[in-house]
Order: sequence, then C-alpha cells, then structure tokens
Amino acid sequence: MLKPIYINGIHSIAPQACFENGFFDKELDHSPKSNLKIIPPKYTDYIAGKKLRRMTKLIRLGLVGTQKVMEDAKVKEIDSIIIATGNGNISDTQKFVNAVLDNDEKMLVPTSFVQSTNNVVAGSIALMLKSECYNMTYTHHNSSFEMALLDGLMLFEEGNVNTILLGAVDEITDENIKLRNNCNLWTKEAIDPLSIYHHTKRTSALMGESSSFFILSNQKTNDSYAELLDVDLFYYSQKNKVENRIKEFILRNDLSLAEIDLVFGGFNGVSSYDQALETIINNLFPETHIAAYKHIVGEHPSSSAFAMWMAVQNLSGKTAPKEIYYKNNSKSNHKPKHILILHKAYLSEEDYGLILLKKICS
Amino acid sequence: MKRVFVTGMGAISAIGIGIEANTTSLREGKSGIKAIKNLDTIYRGKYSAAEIDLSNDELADLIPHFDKNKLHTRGQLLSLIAVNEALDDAKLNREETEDLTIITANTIAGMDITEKYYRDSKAELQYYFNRAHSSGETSRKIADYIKSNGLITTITTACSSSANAIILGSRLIRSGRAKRVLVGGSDPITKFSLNGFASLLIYDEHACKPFDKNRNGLNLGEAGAFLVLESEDVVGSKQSYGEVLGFSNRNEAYHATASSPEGKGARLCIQEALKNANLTPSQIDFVHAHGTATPNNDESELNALKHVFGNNIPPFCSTKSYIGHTLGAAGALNAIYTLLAMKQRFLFKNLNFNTPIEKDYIPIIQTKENVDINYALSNAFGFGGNNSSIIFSNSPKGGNNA
Repeated sequence: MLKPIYINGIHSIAPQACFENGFFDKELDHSPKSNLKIIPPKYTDYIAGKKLRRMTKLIRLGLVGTQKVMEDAKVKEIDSIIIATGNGNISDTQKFVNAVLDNDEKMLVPTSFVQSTNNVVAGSIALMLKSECYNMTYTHHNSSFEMALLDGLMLFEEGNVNTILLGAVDEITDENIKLRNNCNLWTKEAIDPLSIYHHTKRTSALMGESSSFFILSNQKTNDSYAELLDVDLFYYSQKNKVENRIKEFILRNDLSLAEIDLVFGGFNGVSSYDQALETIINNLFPETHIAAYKHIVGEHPSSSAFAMWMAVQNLSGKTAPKEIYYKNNSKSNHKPKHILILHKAYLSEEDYGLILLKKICS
Repeated sequence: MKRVFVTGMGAISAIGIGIEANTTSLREGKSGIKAIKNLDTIYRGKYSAAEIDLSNDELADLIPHFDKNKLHTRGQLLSLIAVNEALDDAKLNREETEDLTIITANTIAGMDITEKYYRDSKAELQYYFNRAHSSGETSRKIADYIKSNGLITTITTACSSSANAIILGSRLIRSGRAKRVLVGGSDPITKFSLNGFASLLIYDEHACKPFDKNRNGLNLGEAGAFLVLESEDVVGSKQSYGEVLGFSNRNEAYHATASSPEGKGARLCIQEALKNANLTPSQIDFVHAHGTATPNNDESELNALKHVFGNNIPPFCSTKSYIGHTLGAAGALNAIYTLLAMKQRFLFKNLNFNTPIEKDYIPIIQTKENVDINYALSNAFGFGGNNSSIIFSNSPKGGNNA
C-alpha cells in the first residue's frame, strides 16, 4: 500500500493577482478582456538582470515558481523535477520560425532555437538548482499535468524519492492572439471573464495562460496543504465509458461517489462543451458542489494545475471566494473533504484528466 | 515489480522501411546519409542528411486505411508506419490493443507543417498551427488509428525523448498499472531543426564521423521507431527481443546545450541504470552509444564510458553515421538496433571512423557475426542536460524464461 503523498508547497502566477497564496491577493478583476494573460511578477527579485534579459517567459516563470514554491514548503533540496506544458515554448518556436523565414535561413542566432525545446523549463530549473536528479517534461495537451502527477506518484511508490518539484506552465503570445483572429473557436471580443458561464450560447473560449508549482512529499508537515490521493488520464471517445472510468477511479480509492463534496470542472464558457461536462458531473455527483477555474486563468492545456492550487487551499481550511463556484453553485463557507478535478481538452474533447485530493486528518 | 519484455518492433529510417531492411543495412554497413535532396532549403545539394526518399503521399500509401484528407504531419506518417509494424510483430489482437497505453516522443512535432503554412494568410493556418504543431497530436493520431481508449501521453526531453518513453512505459508495467504499452518516437527533417543545429555550428555538411578525432558535428536524420512492451503477466510463451532490465534518467545541470567534458551526467545515468538492472559494469557486452559526432557529445560520452568501465569498455559504437540524428526517434531507434544486435547475434560497425579520439578508445570498426550479447546498454542524451540510459537483457522467451 502506498504511503500518503502530501502537497507541502504551492505557488501560482495567473491572470488574477494570486502571487502571495491564500487564494487571491485582492478582489477579482471583472474588467472585460479578450484574452487572459498572467500578471507578471517582479522577475528581477528572483533572477539576475543580465541572465533575465536572455530568458524566455516560460523559463522565467519556471525559475520564479521554483524559488517561491520551495520557500513556501520550506525545503532546500528536491530529488525530482517534473514539468507539464501542453503547448511548450511557443514564443521561441515562433521567434525561430520567423527568423528562418525572414532571413531566408541566413545569419541565424541559435538562442531561440535552443530555448524552443519544450524541456527547456525543466532543464533551466535543474541548472539553477544544480540538481542532477530525475528530470522530465510532459507535453501532451491537457493531460500533461495529470501525467506529471502520475509520474510523481510512481516515483514515490518506487521508493527512491522524498521531495518532488512539479510544475505546469503554458503561455500565450501576441502572435497566437493574432493567429486567433482566423479562428472562431477563440473569443475575439472583450468580455468580463468571470461572466462566461452566465451566457447560454457562447461558441468560443477565452485564451489564457498560467504557471503553477507544487512540492510533493512523503512527509507530513505542519504546513501541509492536502493529500494527493490519486490521478488518472485517458483518451475516450465514447461518453458512457468516461463516466464509468471516473466512477471506477473514485471507487478504487475506497470512496463512494457521494463522498466527493466538491468537483472542479474544466468549464470554458463554450455552451456545448460545458453542457457535456455538466452532464457527466450531474450524473455521477448529483449532490456535489461545483467549482470552475478557466474563468480565472482562461483556456489552456495545463490549467488544471491552477485548479489544484485552489483546491488544496480550500482543503487546508481556507474559505474559497464565491466567484470560483460554477454558476454560483455552492452554499457559503463550504469546507470540502474530498475534491475531484475533472479536466478535459478543448479542441479534441477526448483527452481527460482526473485528480483526487483529500483534506488532511489531524 | 513486474518484468518488462519487448515483444514487437517497427522502424522506418533512411536505411530502410521496416526492421528487416534496417537490419540488412546495418549488417552491410550501408549508410543513409546523402546530400539533401527532398527538403526545401538553401542547403539542398550542399549539406548531408539522412532523408527517407519518399514523399508524404508515398508514406501515406504504406499505411492501410489511412485517410489522407485528414490533417497529418510527416512525423505522424513515420510513426504510423512503425506502429503498424510493431503491433503486427507483437501479434496483438483487437482486444489487446483496445486499452493499449501509448507513449510517444518528439522534439519538433508538426514543425514541417508549421514552417510550410506559417505565413499562409488563410484561416486554416490557425487550425494547422494549433492542431498539427502540438507535441501531443501524434499520440492522438495513433490512438485514433488503432482505435485505442486508454492512457496516452507525450514526452519531450529533447534528443532523449523516446528513451524516456521506453522508461515510462516500463515503469507503468513494473507498477502493474499497464499490461501492454506502445512506446516510441518520430521526427521529420525540417528547415527549423537543420538551421537550428547549423546556427549552433554543430552540423557537419559532410557525413558525420562519430567517435573520430576529426569529427565535425552531426547530420540530421528522420525516422519513426516504435516498440511494444508487455508485462510478464501477459507475455506468456511469446518470443521476445529482450527484457528491459534497468534504466535511468538524470540531468547533468551543466549547460543548456553542451555536456560537461568529463561526462558527469552520462556517467551518473549509466551507473544508476546498472544499479537499477542489478548488474556490474563488467557484465555489459555491448554499448550502443548516443554518439552524435559533435565534438562535445562524443568526448563527454567517451569520458563517461571510461569512468564507468575503466580500461574494459565493452565493444561500443554509434549508428548516427547510418541514420543521422533522428531527434525524437533517436532513443527508440537506438534501443531497437541494440535489441536486433542481441537477437541476431551481430555487432555493427561504427561508420566513417578513422582516427581515435584517444589511443586505445576505438569503436567497433568491423561487423562481427555470432557474438553473444547477454546485456547491452543503450544511451540517449539531449539538450537541457537530459540524459537517459537503458539496459536490455537477452531473453529469447518471455515470462517462461524466468
């Protein structure tokens, strides 16, 4: 039997102010936006200016996230680095593609080519920490973060690690926003992001980005936020199979469906997409509270990591602001014991991710 | 902990379509590296690469029931050709592929499509960029093609990506989470990668010379390479190519692209793989090196081998001088060739070798037949300090051989 796994440190940078943990730093921003970009931290507090200038956004986020989450967990050393990024380093990929095309393959500077590899975040973290440990990057759409968690679970099971650094980063670039205008699947007009679930006929999603980091440990501390019970990811095209797999997932953890008292669903405001997800949740968990996260961070593959950042704070006893609930679906001051995060891909809807978290019993 | 067996393999590279053709070329010392002919680049006719001489249309014709009208990338075509061969080879039936775990690896994914359509003003551009470019799209394409509903994922750790796919697949089986896993990788040759390595000044315009003192950089290659891994629980009396005995994934934490001259990352990785396989260095009969032929990699890798094996480095070679550096496919292709050497009892020679880096450190220069290889090491190293090593053991039969 696997020993419990604790989440001992958390950190997130999102389109809403949340740098200091404790849910949000201030009232949530309702101002209309056509895409949700992160509020950048003061990078110079964490990375020396000379290095910083050459560094791409994803690496910056990774290095800040690593320092902040290790500080939060009060750890000096880690023995595994696992990064999830569904889209990878789009900035540098675009930069190098543009350079190749603009200069007709001549006089190229390799910096953006080197940084374009999707493992550049995990590699840069290893360099910063001088950490020669296990180092992995998952780049599979929306279930990248869930695979990173599953890898972490297995590493603990294999018995060679005590402290894992696990992060999820995805970015949007100005070039993506420009490209977006060719495509009806993405929202172009500005809208209050917190209102996306209250429209009944939306057909496009708000692009977003975020960076979330966690310290997983096999040791409980006074500051542990929550327990990671289990994780699953799968690729199903048949809807009835999806419900069965979720049910089996809950049951294999010796829980009944009724014991799941909060579900974070990957709703993105696209009516048909949200309805499909809502049907699954209502069929399996008719009594549960439902929360959302993409109205805060926007649609992007690894957004479920931000859901986990919220969920573990909720489980640690912090009261969630009312805005996180889907269509205000909650009694006030709800204190959940078991949270399920149900994440689903947007453009191909068959990729699913499940994360099961538990309140720590004192 | 469940034991892991390799029961099927498939490969397409510049030295052949299919395992048999690849084996023949290795035996005959036939390289696939030539002046670039197909890629639309200013280096066409000037630089060398290991291209597969088939257009995307011709590749698609090799895949039964493939829908050419649906968006696809060259990497996906190369993958599906190798996947079909590997699944046939492992003789998996429909029921067994239904919940097959699929782990693919790549480094540049749909870059061939991206660089072609990036400046296209049509609306479909966004579609191409979003869908084809994404790393995870190949795994989905495979899952759709074989109608599998299970765990699927994608790894990118630069040039060690598909070695890590084998490692993850093995760990899923060892833990009992999976019974059968399809693992592998692919990458096409693109202007993006060619110019990237050229701008780093590590691209040899002539055929590359791994482990030669006068080596001058790598050549790119394109390939698709896949393996079927099965748990001892289900393998029964099926013939296997070998057992995945141990592995390691380590980061060197030295430099973004270069390896440390002393090869610390590679050394840690090989040592940990030996420990994981419960073997001593002297038990290794063959080392299939990463050997990219860049001045930096080969020096570093050789120093790591010297450190681990002392004066008794087992016969070693690189096959990059046959197939080029196939990036996302490199780790899986290296593993496949390693298993072929074991199974068919031959050692292939390291092509284009003339002068040793250091006296006495000479790779295999003559093809040898009837060689017993009980344990072999396969290396894959990448940018970002990502190093991986896998050790295979020769076990002609599956679980019954225990």
